[in-house]
Formats: sequence, C-alpha cells, structure tokens
Amino acid sequence: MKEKIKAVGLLLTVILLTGGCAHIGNSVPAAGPSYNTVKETAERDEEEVSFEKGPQPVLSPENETGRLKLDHAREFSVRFYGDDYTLIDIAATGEYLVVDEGAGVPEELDEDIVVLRKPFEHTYLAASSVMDFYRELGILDRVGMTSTKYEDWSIDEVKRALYEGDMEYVGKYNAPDYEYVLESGCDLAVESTMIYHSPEVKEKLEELNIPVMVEHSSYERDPLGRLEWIKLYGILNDRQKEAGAFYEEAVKKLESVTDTAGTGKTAAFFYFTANGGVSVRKENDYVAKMIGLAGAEYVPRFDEGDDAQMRSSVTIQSESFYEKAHAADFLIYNSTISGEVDSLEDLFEKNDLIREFKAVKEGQVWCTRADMFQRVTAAADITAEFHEVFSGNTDGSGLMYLYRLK
Amino acid sequence: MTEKERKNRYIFSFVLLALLLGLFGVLNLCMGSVRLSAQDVANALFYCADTPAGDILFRIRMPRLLSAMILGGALSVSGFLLQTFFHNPIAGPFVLGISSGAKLMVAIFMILSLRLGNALNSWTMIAAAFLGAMLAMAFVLAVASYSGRISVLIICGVLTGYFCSALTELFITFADDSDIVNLHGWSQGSFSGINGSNVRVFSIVILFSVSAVFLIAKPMEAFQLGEAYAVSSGVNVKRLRICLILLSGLLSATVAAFAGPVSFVGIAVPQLMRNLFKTEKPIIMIPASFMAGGVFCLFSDLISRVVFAPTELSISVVTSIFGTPVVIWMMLKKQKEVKAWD
Amino acid sequence: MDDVKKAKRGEGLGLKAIEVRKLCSGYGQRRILSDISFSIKRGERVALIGPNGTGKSTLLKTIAGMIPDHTGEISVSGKDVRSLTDNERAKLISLMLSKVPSGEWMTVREIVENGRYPYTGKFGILSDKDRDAVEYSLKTADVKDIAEKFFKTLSDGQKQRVMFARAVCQEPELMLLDEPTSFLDIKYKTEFMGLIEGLAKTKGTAMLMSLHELYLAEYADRILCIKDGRLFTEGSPEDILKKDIIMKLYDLKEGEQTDRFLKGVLRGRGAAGEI
Repeated sequence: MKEKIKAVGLLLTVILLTGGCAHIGNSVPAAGPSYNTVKETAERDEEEVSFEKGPQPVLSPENETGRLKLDHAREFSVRFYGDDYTLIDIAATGEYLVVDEGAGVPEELDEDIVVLRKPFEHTYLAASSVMDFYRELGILDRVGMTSTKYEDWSIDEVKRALYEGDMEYVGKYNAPDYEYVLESGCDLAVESTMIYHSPEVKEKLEELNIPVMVEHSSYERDPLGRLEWIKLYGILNDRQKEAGAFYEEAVKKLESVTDTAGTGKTAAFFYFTANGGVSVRKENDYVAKMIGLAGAEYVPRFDEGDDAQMRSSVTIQSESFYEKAHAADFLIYNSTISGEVDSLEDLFEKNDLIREFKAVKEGQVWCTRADMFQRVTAAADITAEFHEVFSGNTDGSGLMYLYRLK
Repeated sequence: MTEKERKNRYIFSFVLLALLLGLFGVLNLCMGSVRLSAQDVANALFYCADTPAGDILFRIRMPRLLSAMILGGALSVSGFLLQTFFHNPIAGPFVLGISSGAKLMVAIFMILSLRLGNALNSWTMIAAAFLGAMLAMAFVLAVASYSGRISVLIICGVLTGYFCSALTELFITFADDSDIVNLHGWSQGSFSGINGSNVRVFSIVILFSVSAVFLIAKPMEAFQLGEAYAVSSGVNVKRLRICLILLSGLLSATVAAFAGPVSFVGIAVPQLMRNLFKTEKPIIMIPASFMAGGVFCLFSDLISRVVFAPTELSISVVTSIFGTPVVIWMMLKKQKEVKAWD
Repeated sequence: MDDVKKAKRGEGLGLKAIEVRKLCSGYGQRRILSDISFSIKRGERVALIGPNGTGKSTLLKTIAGMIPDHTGEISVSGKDVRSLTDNERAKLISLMLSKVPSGEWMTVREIVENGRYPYTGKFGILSDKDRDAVEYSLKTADVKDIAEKFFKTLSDGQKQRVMFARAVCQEPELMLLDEPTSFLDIKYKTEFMGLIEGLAKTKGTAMLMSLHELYLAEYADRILCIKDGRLFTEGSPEDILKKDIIMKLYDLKEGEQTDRFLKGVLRGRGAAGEI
C-alpha cells in the first residue's frame, strides 16, 4: 500500500513537471484582435477620405481607405484611415495607431491600441535587427539610442554614429538608462519580444510617456517576409517609396539566385552550447529557408510542429546531431553566439566528434561572420553566398558573410 | 537482527547494487535520442566498426555513462563525509558554498577570457570551476580549524554561498547575454560535454580521493559516537575534521569542475543506503554510497536524455525530482518510528 | 606499545593507576583548575564531588586529553601522559559521559566493538582476542542479550550500560566517568554502581567518577572534593560525608532546610537530594 502511494505521488510529480516544461517558452503576450492577410486594393496614396460622415469612431471599416499589400510578411498588417491615421497590427504584440503630425488622437480609441505620434526624431532602437532597415532607408540620424554596444556592431555606419556621438548606447534592453532616454526626447521605443521577459522596463517607458512598439520581424519564417518589414519602418518614417523600391529590388535579386533545381547537397547550420549540446535551427526557420533557397537541403530536421510562438532554434543532444549531420555535405557554424572561430582546431576543441563528419573530411566547414545577422537587408546577398558555397564555385575568398575554416 | 542476518543483508545489498549498475550501464549505452538497432550495437561492440553507431556508442555514450557512474559515486561519498562531519543526515556537498564558489570562478573566467579575445577552452573552464570550489572549501577549512563548532561552519557555508552569488551577479552585469546563457546552462549541471580524456583525469583524482577516504573509515566510525568518545578512543579529531572537509571538497569540486553542480545526490543517496543496509558503518557506507551514487546518476541521466529527446533535461532537475520524495518519505518514516518509541 | 604493556603490568610494582601533580587547566584565557594534586591506586574507586562549574568536568577532560593547554604533571601507570601518543593514551584511559551518542543505525555490538579502537589495525578488523574482549565486556555490563539490537531502541539504563561496556572493552588502567548516572532512574543508578564495583574488583581498573548525587558517593573507596578549581579536601566516605564538610563544600546556609537535606543525604538515609 505504501509502495502504491509512493508510486502515485512520484507519477504525479513527474506529470506536473512535464506539464510545466511544456509551457516554458510559451510566454504568449496579450494578443490583439486577429488580423487577416487580405491583400486587396491599391496603395494608400491614391485615395482620399473625408470624415464628415457623422459621429462614427475613426477606426471603423467605413473609414478604411486601404491596406498595405504584403507578399510574404505574415507577422504584421497595415490599414490606412485617410492621411492621418494608420493602424499597424503586429502579430501577438498588439495594435499601433500611427497618428500624423498635427492630427488629433481619436476619441473612443480601444485601450489596447498604442498611439504613436509622428514624427519620430529620436527613436530608441532596442531591437538590433531593425537597425539595418533604418540604415537602408537612410534614416539612421533618427535613431538616437541603441542597446547594443559599439564593439558588438559590425555595420560601419552605425559604428561611426556611435563613435561620433550621434547615437548612444543606453544600456541593455532590460536595464536602459531611463534618464538619458527621457532627456534626449525619445519619442518611440522599438523593442524585440525579449522585452516581455522584463515587463517592468516596458511599463516604465510607457510611464515616461514613451510609446513602446514590440516588433516581430524575427518571427518571419520566410526571408522575404522578414525583408518586407522595411515597409513598416518606411511608413513610420515617411519613407514608403524607398522601402517599396528596396523590397522590389530584393525580391528580384533573391529570385535570381534561387536555385530551384537544387544542388542535391545537404547543409547544417548550428553552434555548440557550453554544456555539450548543439543548437540547431528548426526547419521552418528563416535561415533554414535561405539555405533551401540557395539550393541545399537543411539538416537536421525535427518534427517540432509549427507553433509560430516557439523559438526558431532548439538545443539537441550531441548524439542526435551526430546522427543527423555526420553525413552532411556542408557544415556552417554560427559564430554570432560564442564568437568567431579561427580554425578547425578551435571547433574540435568544442566538440571533438566532428572530426568524423563528412564535411570536415572534405574541407567544407564554413563559419559565419559577425555581421551576417545584423545585415538583415542583405538576405539576398547572403543567400547568394550560400549558393556559391553549395555549388562549389568558391574557395572562400571574396565572400562577405562566410569564411571557410581550415 | 543477528550478526548472520546482518552479513546476509550486506551481501544481498551489494549484489543488488552491482546488478543495478550493470543494468543501467547497459541501458545507458543502448538507449538514447538516437535509435540504434541491436544489430548496430552488436556490430559496433564486436567488430569495432568505424561506423557512426560505433562513434555514438563509444565516443558519446560511453564517456557519458562513465561520468555518471564515477561522478555520481563521488558526489555520494562526498555527501556521506559531510553528514558524518556534521552528525546530520541533511548535509550535502553543496551546502558549504562550494558550488557557488565554482560558479563564481567560472563566471569570472568566462568574462575575462572573452574580453581578452580567446574563446574559453574546455580545460580552462574545468580548471576555473575546480579552483573556485577549492577556494570556497579552503575558506571553510580555515574557519573549521579556527573554530570546530558546527553551527559556525554551517553559517559560514551559507554566507559563502550568498557572497559568491552576489559577486557572480556583479560580474554578470559586465557580461554579454550569451555569457549569461552559458553560465546559466553550466550551473544546471550536465554529463554531456565530457570526453575520454576528461574521464581519464577525473577518474584518477576520484580514485585517489576515495582510497584516502577508506583510510579514514575507522576514525570516522569512532567520530560517529561523538567527539568526546572519539578523542578517548585515540582519534586526532582536529586532523580528522580537516580530512573530512578536504576530501569531501576535493570530490565535489571535481564533479563541479566537469559536470557543473548536480544537486541532491549527496543528500539522498547516502540516506537511501543507510536504510537499505541498515547501518552507518563507514567501511560499508563508503563503497555502498559510491555504487548507489553511480546507479542514481545513471538512472537520472537516462531519464534526462530520453524523456524529451532530442532535447535534454538538466540533470539537476531529474535528480531533484526523484531525490526529494525519497528523502521526504524517509524522514516521515523516521518520524513515525521515533514516535513509536516515546 | 612496550611501554604500555609494561605500564599495564604495573600491578605488583606498586605503581599508582594515576598520579596528578600541580595540575592547572582551563579553556583559553579562563583558568578553571589550579594546583590540583592527587593519586589513585589500582582498583580504587574515587568519587569526585563539588559544586557545578568548579572544575569536575574540566579535570576529567584534562586527564582524558581533551584539553592540551594545561600545566602540571599527569602520569598514568608511571607514564607521563604528555609523552604518550593518542593511541597509547587510549589504551590506558577510557571515558564515559552522561550523554549517550545519537546514532540512527548503530547496534550495541558495534558500539562496544568501538572500544577496541586502539587495538585494531588500519581498517578496524577485529582479531580473536578483540572478539573475546568484546564478549567479556558485554557480559560484564549485562548487555549480552541485547547485543544485536539497535542502540536507539534501548532504555536509558540499557544505553548507559552499553557505553560502560564500551569503556570496559578498551581495557584501560583508569576509567573516567563524567556524571554517568545523571539521567538514570534510581533503579539503574544503583545497578550501575554495582557494575562499577564488579569491574574494580575483577580487573583492577581504577575509576574516577564525578557525581551529582551525593548519596552515591557512599559507594566509592575515596572521595575528592573540588571547589573553585581547587582540591578542597579528600578522604574516605566516612571522613567526607559529614555535615560541616558538605556545608563548607557547597556553601550551604545554616537552617532547617539544610538540616533536612543533610539528614537525608548523609549516611544514605531517605530521599534523594541533589543540589
């Protein structure tokens, strides 16, 4: 009898903990109303709207003048209400109403909608992956604050701005220097979803009347979808034309390097964690997609389901990685987490077993350069470089985003 | 129980432990997130084929199961030594702040080395953890030779833990996010990053330490009667105390260095063994704890690798889940017995 | 080893079991004992009485070797204890305390076997001679029938008998007992004193025991009185257990209460009277 009680108690404990584990990482923030990706009607510039239709709330369907056409992006949508109001709906983080300069904030606005008043002259860009969009649109001068240090940036223009004092490092996203942020007249804070781990920071910023927009571009599975976010930042900063132009250009470039035939080879993209584990991308992650577009099959593949909220990488055991990647034709090591690796020996230091891997024996071990992830706009170029590597057209010299390990 | 019954109990229990060790050793070799067929295993074992299966078996799983066995045993013995020292069954190797010291030193090394440009070499990290653990222990030893009072030592251990944690937090403010993740990962404990040469090194250290422990088994037993009686038996109590702390610290520092802090083994396993063997004689408890610690960690490692494959549960999570109810159950059982005698 | 054997054969050589000369001892700065000198013959049972905190325990601990910081001479069977190793000392002196050990899984036999500590090798394996000594001790202390039981399950009286057996098993020349009967019922107290007498007669072990209970001092051959860290007086029970000495020793005031107490204590008549 006692044995049974003990067994049941043990089972309950295990079940409880398993349930707990399954929910880790599932921090789903309050979602806004669901959006749909209806792509209809022409661009905003071609329509006019008058508000003299009676006492209706501004954001009613009757007043909608258009929606942004999005080809690949799924994590946001934009609805226009005349010249003055633009409603941006970002998946899982909420709705943001961009109010034009001079226009008034509509009454009867839903409490959950965050009001962003143009213009944005002093943006605090805590989400580092967005910086490259601003650079591309030529509006780096509008970014006053960042949460990534000078040493950790590899985009020259940003480094120069930091060096010359046009941009300041204000501390990590979870501990910014509020005084500086406030004093510099910050009018918009763009955060990544990491901010949800430190909700008190978001609340403090909002308390200081700094609107916070939590962006979701890194959740895009499609590389082109990610690039399409430049349109959102174009809307915020009156650079829609430039954004649109860039995007069209990028699509063309990517299509030209997409290898639909495929090289028939396999490639793994990974890094070694401190504990002897291996962190790999899931197959619907955008890096895996880029590798696919570049003509190789991404390994290792795991059937993790398609929960969009889950992280895009997973840490697996050494032996699983061995099983799935030992016969891969190419190994690409992600150096952005633990620093660049100088040679194959360094890599063996971390995990001796890869000596046996096919890619090692054939000299096809590559490493990413630090700026590969910061240069978000270079997705097409990066894919092109992947393609060069996979088709064996390069020995590593002349590549900007990858280098070969010897 | 008569003497004969007692001897039988010992024999039976040791045989049981040996069988369990064998069983879990084999299970850990054959089971894992990669499914290996019996054919694969046989080929690898008998033909020493240079196949991926062979690599997985011998270069991943074998070092790992040896680590679980040997490091688990070391932790268990370390716990027993401390419990003897404190005359208290709840003492464990990491209660004296030793794992906090190891973590602090690892944090310092991590941050320093990245700043200086070189990536952290695995041997450097091991050395860092070991150094940190030994420094924490040296501090405790110094206090121990100054004042033999047990309450002083426990407080000293708790304070060392807090102090090291606070310093670690301080250093972390200068760390990158990746350092923090790495440090957090390390402090969860894992048998996975260990290779063959690691196994060779710590096996020697642990073999040496456990042999030394056998040499103090006799004075330990006298010490179990209390300090005054130990002295009257002719035991040099001061020297014994130092040996107990030193050896316990050496064993747990070695484990912390190679596998990070693994909780609960030092507390739960000796307690389980006392109940199984119905004795606390050191000469029996030392090998029993060692073997049982190995079994417990092999079992826990198996669970951690297989339950959520291909991801891995942290070993401390598993040992705590299984260790806690066992200890609680035993404490309750003891309470009932005590009540019966009132 | 040889020295000890010789010391043990002190019988017939007229050597005292223990001789203490001008002993001063204490803890750190605190001086507890001053200028204590006395001796005990083989097989003699000496009781140690006096007010609490005046040095009874300290004296026993010093002789037992637990207080290294002392001046003066202590020689056991003619050997100066300072010249002895821990092991040699353990073969000459054994100890019994008022508090019993608290072990969860210790058996009576294991505890008594521990008494052979100074005689066994590196790993504590018992030889035949050791086993004989254990059997003898179990018999002497009348705990042979409970030898396999767990210590924790015994009554207080039984527990103390076991600790006594252990002390006997050590085959000492001198046994030190620190208020061994403090926590025992009357029945066990008297039983215990019988055991002491038996041991003294059969093995010639000298015994120095501090006592709380004055009426038990009756059983001793001689009584030592310690007051304020000094040897107040000594003598046989007839000499010591007298009104004026006891009153002076314990600083008792004249009066009815005192008279009633002394009537009860002296010459073992009536109720217990512990101060």
